[in-house]
Amino acid sequence: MVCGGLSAIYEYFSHGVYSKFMVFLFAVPLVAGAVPALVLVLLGREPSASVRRLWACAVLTLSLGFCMAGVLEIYGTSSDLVRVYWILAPVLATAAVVSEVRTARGRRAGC
Amino acid sequence: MAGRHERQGGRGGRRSWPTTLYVAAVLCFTVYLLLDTFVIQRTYSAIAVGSAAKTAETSSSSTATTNAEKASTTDASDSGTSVSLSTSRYEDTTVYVVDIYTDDVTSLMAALANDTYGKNVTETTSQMAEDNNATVAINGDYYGARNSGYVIRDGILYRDTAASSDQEDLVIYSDGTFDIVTEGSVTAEDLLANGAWQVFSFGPGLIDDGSITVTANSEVDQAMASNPRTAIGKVADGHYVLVVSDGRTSESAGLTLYQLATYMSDELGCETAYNLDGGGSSTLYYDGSVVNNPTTNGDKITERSVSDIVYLTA
Repeated sequence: MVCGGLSAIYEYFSHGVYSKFMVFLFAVPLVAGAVPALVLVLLGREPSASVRRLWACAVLTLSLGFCMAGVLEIYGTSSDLVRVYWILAPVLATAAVVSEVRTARGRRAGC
Repeated sequence: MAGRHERQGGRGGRRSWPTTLYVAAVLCFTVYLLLDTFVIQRTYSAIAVGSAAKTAETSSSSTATTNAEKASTTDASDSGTSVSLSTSRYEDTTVYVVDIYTDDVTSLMAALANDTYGKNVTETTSQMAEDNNATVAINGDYYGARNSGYVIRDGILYRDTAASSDQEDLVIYSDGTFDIVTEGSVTAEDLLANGAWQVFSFGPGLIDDGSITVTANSEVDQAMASNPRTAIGKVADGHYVLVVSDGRTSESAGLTLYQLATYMSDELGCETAYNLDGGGSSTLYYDGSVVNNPTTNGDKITERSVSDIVYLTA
C-alpha cells in the first residue's frame, strides 16, 4: 500500500511523464512478498526467521530499486548506481531460497 | 512462560542485527544515490576543440575591433545581426518567438552555468545571460541532468558518449546548416570534425526538411502532455527562431510536442526545428529581463536553475 501510494502521488506531480518502474512499484511487495507468503501458508510451511529476513531484505531492495529507477526516469536522467539494486535483490532472494532448501532437507534427514 | 518463549522465538522475536545493519546500509546507499544524482557537483574538462571554435575565435576578435570603432555611430542591426520579439496565443497558450537574422550563425552562442562543464552545476538562465551580456537567451538542453548524450558548445566537444542509438540531436554547423541526426549514425568526433558549432541532445526533432517528424499519437509520454516548451528552429538561411511557450498555469495550458511542431511549421515556416528542455526549465530572457512565465508546478512563477543556455548578443 505504501509503495502504491508513493507511486500514485509521484505520478500525480510528474506532469504527464510516466515510468514503468513507478507504475509497477506497487506490484513488487505484492508479487514478491504477499503472494509467496500466501502460498507458504496454503502449503502449511513456515520458513525460519533467517529465511524470512533474507527474503524481506530482497523485497525491500527490489522495491527501492524500482522506486529509484522510476524517480530518475521521470526526471529524465539515469544513474549507474541503480545496478546495485538489480544485483543485490536476486542475490538475497537466492540466498533465502538456498537456506530454506537446506533447512527443509535437514528436517527431512532428521525425520 | 515456555509457550511465550516459543511464540517469541517463532516470530523471530530476538532482534536481528545483521538485518538491521543491512536495512540501514541500503537506505544510506539510496540517500547517496539521490545526492549523487541531484546534488553533488562534479566538473569535467573539454575533450576537443573543433575548427569551428578556432575560426569563430579569430573572427570575433576582428569583429570586436571593428565594432569598437563603430560603436558611437551604429546600432546592432548594422553588424549583420538583428533580433525581434513577438508574442502570440496558440492553443490557449502564450508563445514567445524571437526572430534572429544573422549572416553568421556562430553569433548564436552557448554558455555554461558558472562557466563550468559538469554535473549538478546550475544557474538561472537570466544570470547566465547577464554574465554573457546577452541580448536574448533561452535555456538549453540541460545536459547536466544526464550522464550521456553528445555535448558540443561553441565548437568545443565536452561529451562524446551516446545516449542511445536513436537519440535525436540537433547539429548547428558553422556554415548555418541545421541538421537533425541520431547518435547511432555518427560520432561526436565526426560532427566536430565536420564543423559542428552546437550539438544539443534532448529532442525529439520537431521538423526536418520542412516536414513535422513528431506525431500526435506517439507513445512517448512527453509528446502527449501539455507543458511549457523551448525550441529552436531555422526558417531559412540567415533566419533562425527561438520559441518559448508558457504552460502549467491557468492562463497558459502549455503545448504538446505535436502542437509545438505544428506551430513552428504552420505559423513560423520552419524547415528544421528541435525541442529543447521544457517544463520548469523553459525561460526566455530578452533585452535585460525574463519575458515568459517560467514555472515548475504552476503555483509559483520562478526560474529554474539549468546547466546551459543558448544566447545571442546583438
